[in-house]
Amino acid sequence: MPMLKTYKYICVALVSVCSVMPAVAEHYAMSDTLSSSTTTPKRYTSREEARKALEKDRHSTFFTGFSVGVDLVGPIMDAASSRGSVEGMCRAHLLETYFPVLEIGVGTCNHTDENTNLNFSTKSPYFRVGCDVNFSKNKTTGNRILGGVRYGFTSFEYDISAPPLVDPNWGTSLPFEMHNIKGKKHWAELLFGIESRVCSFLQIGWAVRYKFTLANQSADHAHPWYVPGYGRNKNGIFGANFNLIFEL
Amino acid sequence: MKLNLLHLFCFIFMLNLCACSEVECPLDSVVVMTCGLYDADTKEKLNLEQTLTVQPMGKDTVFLNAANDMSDFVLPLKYAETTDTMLFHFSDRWGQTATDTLVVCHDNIQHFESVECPTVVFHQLISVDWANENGAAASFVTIDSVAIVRKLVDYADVENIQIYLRSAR
Repeated sequence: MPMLKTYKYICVALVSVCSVMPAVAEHYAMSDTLSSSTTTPKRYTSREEARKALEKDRHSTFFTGFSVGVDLVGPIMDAASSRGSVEGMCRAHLLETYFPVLEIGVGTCNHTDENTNLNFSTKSPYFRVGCDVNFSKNKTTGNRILGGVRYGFTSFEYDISAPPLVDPNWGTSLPFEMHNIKGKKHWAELLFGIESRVCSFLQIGWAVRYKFTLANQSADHAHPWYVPGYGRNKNGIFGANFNLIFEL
Repeated sequence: MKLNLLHLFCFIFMLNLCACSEVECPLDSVVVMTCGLYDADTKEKLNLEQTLTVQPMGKDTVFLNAANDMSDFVLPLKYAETTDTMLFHFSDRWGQTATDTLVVCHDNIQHFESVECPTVVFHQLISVDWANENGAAASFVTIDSVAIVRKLVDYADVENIQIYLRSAR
């Protein structure tokens, strides 16, 4: 019985020490941090010297932040026409010169031609990855001249419907409906754009893109008329974005 | 102010850029089967001396009306059915006549090019059979054999079948 009590007291003591240890360690860590942060701020003789020092500091810093943005052209096109997209982007800032970027969106199309009454519809996601390069001389102002490349991919399904086909020789009517036709497309983009700073965390920017097909896959007798993320299904087309960008 | 106007201008320009489109429909959107006429002995292309009229079986329509001095012609196929039976009426200046039957079996493929272009039906030839009136020897001209050279019947003006004719001597 006395042995049992002894073991019980030893266990309680061990558990108490283990629970207190993290708090003690944190206390000593905080003490070190406080002691090292009490440094004297550096003084510069002129504003120009301070600006150059800041630029040098930012240039020497590899990762200077990241930003997120939304495209405004896509939703407006969706509201005003038969096709559009909702797209967001996220990018990292490296040396304020290189900006690896990821763009993800959903492209939609529900178009009926007024002459043929043919309807094409699709709604599928897409993504693009790439990198932009800032060519402006002054890289700290937030105003940028960008050139970049993208790789894009989408796997999508589309529907086609048309008025019934009438055989001119026999007069018979054949319904024309195709549903859930699968397609895939890989493409590349060359991009040129300009961004300007509106306030400390907000920027606006536009970009013009030249897109061309790398590879695609679709039904032999029903090529897609519109590809989400790419646009009209032709090789060598232009597109554009107008982005609202939030720097974090 | 200038920068905001520049951005506004670029925004409107880009909306127009995205709205541009052009129509690219095939100029020839008629889908017909191209038939070539050949001599059964020499296997060379034949310029038909007799008159040929082609009708579908069971209908008064005429696909080819009293044509001669030609070496190829086109025939439409049905959209909704997979077998076409056509009657080939040959006649010459001496009043001789002969009627052969051609049976074409095919699949029908609905084809979509673009929303601006009308939809069409392509055909995939499976087999072609023929029958001679009163046997081959009794006719002054008769279909000796038929060969499929291109199975897909589409917009292209390319020979699909070769019809070998034998003339009685």
